[in-house]
Amino acid sequence: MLGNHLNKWLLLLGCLPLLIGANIFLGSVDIPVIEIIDVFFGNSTNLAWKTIIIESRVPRILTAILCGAAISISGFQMQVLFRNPLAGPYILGISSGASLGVSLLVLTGGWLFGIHFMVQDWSIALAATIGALFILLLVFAISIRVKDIMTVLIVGIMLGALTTAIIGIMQYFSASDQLKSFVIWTLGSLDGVNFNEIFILSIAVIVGLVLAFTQIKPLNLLLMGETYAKSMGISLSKSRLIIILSAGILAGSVTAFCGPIGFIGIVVPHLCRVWFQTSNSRILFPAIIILGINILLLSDCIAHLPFSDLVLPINSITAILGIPIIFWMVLGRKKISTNL
Amino acid sequence: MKERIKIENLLIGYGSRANGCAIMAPISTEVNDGEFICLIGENGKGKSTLLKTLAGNLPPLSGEVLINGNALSSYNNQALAKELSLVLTDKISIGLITVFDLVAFGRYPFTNWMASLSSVDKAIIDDALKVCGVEGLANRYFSNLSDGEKQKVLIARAIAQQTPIVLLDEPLNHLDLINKVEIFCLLQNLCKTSGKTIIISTHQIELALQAADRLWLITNDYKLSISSPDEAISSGLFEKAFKSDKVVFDSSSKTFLLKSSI
Repeated sequence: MLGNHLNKWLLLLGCLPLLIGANIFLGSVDIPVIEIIDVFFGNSTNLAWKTIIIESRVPRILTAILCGAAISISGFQMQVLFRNPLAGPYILGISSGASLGVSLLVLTGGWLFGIHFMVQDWSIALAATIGALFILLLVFAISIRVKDIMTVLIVGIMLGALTTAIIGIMQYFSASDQLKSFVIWTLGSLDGVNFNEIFILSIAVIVGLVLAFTQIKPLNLLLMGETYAKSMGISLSKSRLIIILSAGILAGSVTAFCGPIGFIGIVVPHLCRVWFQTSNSRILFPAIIILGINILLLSDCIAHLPFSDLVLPINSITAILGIPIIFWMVLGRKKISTNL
Repeated sequence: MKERIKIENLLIGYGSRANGCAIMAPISTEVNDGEFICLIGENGKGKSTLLKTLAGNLPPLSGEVLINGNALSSYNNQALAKELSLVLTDKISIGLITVFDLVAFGRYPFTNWMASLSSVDKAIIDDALKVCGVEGLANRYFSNLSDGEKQKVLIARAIAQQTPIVLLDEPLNHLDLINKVEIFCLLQNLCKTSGKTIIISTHQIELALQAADRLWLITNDYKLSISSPDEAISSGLFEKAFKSDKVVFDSSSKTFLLKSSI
């Protein structure tokens, strides 16, 4: 598995500590390297710097690692399941469901939940989880009843459109400051996730990834079509449910804590296919996880413009970073649509 | 010879058991190890439906298919994958998968969840590639191959699955004469040398007449007529089954002739 692509794996793994390091060093406050090392060895005397690193930068890096892995694998699963290069982690309306939950909370000022003007971070995560779970269960129930996978896809997209419509109505009637806080949530952010939340997020991501790993064989065989997959011992309905559940847990948990992180879930699988020149999920799985983490860490580096107070929305950065890569791939005559 | 498949009063068609639409008269027959069976009949007579039912992809309306004496419905996908492998007629587009990887898929029913290949698995894959004469293509991408090469690779995949039964649904479509003959000989050899049971649906009647152990001919009144190639010719089945004012079956040369040329 490693033999043919050794230098690519070394590059991928080598970038990881560099990007983690960069994310620790770079931030709105300029902290000397020596001080940062002191913080980690417990020798630091500067309490402010210690707080910034331990309470802000380290959680941000952990969040980026979890999100990067989760969102990329989730997108990969959806692309293979639906045999569609445009599919991503949110294709089944999971982010729309989360958005519905959050908009019900934020745009109505919390009165629906009886927590008037007490909209806090944890309540946003909870609302997003409930919304995402609601849509996930709906898609789940439909995919048990409907045999044709394309019908499941269409129903998922329809559900997304429906929730977007409902959100539109709520936005139309909501106050401008509520509207702004909702829009900011939709732009995504890796900041402000505390260690308790990271603990919950990491459990969800690990469960999602383990479920995803059990489906490596079905994901390969599905490339040949459902009849062939079945003839090689795959239980289609079981595999389909596990894949949808796993992709849903991964995308849903990320969206709950960080908002819908866009673009990475669609781009990273394509990048790995072109780079490693394979559609074999045995190779793609680890590659997608590591590249997803790397790209989200890089995006986060750029989002926190070094040594300035500005923090750019992470979704804008992933798109601005990702689209040139896609253009470069397409202009390099590398067909990406037929790689699935 | 060991009996591999037994078909009892099998009624095939679409719809539910209670409210189904049968497309052929009930079928009863058995198939032994090492038999090469060619299923022939005009388009729309039910060749694919019969193969789908035998492969367990379509439930029968009534009757039973027994494999090794056990009902087909009692096998789960995993167990059936060790008895029966498929080669389908539809073209597959599979992206960046090499020929070796694709043939390795045939070993998936026998590998762990990570699909790790043992040295035995690798030897079986190499052997399957060699039997089909595509060992030189192992590192090429499947999607870049010609139609004939693709079909041979798909057959190699079925061989790598090492099942006693192989079902092929019109695997010779889109192929030129040489490739058709090569694949026919390959299948015939598999039956003789490794004792596999092969059922293939095809429109290549002339080839089927020369190679098949038995013919399954779907007649105009939707019955499955089972006979050896010679019996089929001498009993005049072909004249009846392929009735047309344009062609006639010539039993001495075992070929169809255009009426206008006679």
